[in-house]
Amino acid sequence: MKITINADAYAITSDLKVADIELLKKYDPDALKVKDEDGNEKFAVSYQEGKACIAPFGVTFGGVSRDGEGKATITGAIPSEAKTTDAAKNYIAEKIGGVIAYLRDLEESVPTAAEAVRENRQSIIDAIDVA
Amino acid sequence: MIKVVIKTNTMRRDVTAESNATPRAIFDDFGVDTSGSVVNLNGTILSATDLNSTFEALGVSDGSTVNLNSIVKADGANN
Repeated sequence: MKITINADAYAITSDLKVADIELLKKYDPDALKVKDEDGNEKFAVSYQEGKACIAPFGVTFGGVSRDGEGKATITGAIPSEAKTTDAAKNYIAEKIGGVIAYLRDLEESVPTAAEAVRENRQSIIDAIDVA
Repeated sequence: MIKVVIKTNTMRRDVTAESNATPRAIFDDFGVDTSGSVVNLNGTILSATDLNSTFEALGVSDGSTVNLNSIVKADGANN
């Protein structure tokens, strides 16, 4: 994950790829969630173009990185009260501090789950005979 | 993203959902049959049309937590 500040805006670029999130939303939504032992969802990630959201129980990414890697991003405004660089950094730390551990866990597990779905899908495609 | 606390007569479950999801879709995911029950969102009773409206259209904003209840009232229960 990479966080950058540019003027009055911040950008969070996750290691998660939008294509992986979209794939898992369709084929294995549970892979995008962290659940407790009772099955209650503690945290989830998602993607909705242009509708980014950071909440204690989940993160919705709203954009895609422009480096060609298709990473999920969130762009937001830094409030005018945060006048110094330190204040801006503290604002971002406050905003994502509660979710960073969950996000990092999912950044490790989601690519593996997405790859498994792709392999499974490809095996189905390979097994199809055309008469 | 929103957090939905689903409560029925027999279960309680916390789920996360997009604000463009509908109460009906959430209940369907958990196999909750809402026919014959009173459904309310944060205490406001939902009509059959509301069940198919998005949370966003029902006034739920991103980042918030809502209670979605489906309660079956037995015969003879008072209000």
